Amino acid sequence: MKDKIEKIIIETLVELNEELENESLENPSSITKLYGANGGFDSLALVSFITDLEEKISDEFDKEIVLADEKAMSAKTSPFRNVESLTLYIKSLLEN
Amino acid sequence: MKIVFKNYSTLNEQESFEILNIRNKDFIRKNMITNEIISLENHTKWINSLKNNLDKKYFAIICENEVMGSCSWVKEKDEFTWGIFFKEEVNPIISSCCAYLFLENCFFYDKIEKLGSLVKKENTIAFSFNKNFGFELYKEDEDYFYLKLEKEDWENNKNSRLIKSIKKYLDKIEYQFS
Repeated sequence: MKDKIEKIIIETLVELNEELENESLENPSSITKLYGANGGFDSLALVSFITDLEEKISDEFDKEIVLADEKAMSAKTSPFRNVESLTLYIKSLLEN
Repeated sequence: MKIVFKNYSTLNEQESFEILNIRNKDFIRKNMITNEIISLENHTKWINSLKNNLDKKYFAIICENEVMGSCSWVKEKDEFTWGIFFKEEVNPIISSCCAYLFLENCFFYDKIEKLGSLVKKENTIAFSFNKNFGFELYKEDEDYFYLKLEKEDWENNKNSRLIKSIKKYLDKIEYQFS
């Protein structure tokens, strides 16, 4: 499941970055930083990314998840720090 | 969720202090043209100077009774420039929605036809934030990027993939400019 989630995250990143043309998000991997310290996303790009990702995860796993949870969006503890932390966060949401 | 854009001239003492506190944070100051720490005395004097000043409009952004940031426009030589900043821990949905609502207010309530933006070159996140809201780079010098957004382009950009993504959240926000 973890690999599948990471693959979806990376595909979503690549698609969105065709529009953003952000160098720090080119060739994304598990260590790619997303939001917060040295992250590649500004807040609007993050919201767009979350919207796309929620839809793809829901299609793939047939389960609705809400990534834009109030706690999750807090900058210091955010799972949106990098691809790996987001993968683990989505996995925990799908398993609960 | 309720968001109030409260004119600096009508802030109470505590709200005014909270704005100053955010404005004096390192991560905000380093991206400002004036980056020294501002004293409470100077801040209060400056806020008082805004009363009846038609060339400057500053709002505190108050979300569920908590001061979260600030947005503004300043008119200089017939050109308008906007500015916006938030607490570091602000929810990105809130900051994106507030920027959208403020731009709407600039173009459709204040009837601004063209809005400029001045971004320090090292502030890559602010640069992409402006670009994602439709601002276009038209000039740069050693230190700054100069961007602009015209009302007509804002209208067209509101249907961009990026801006559309916040619409579902905007529907759940009750807001007012006061």
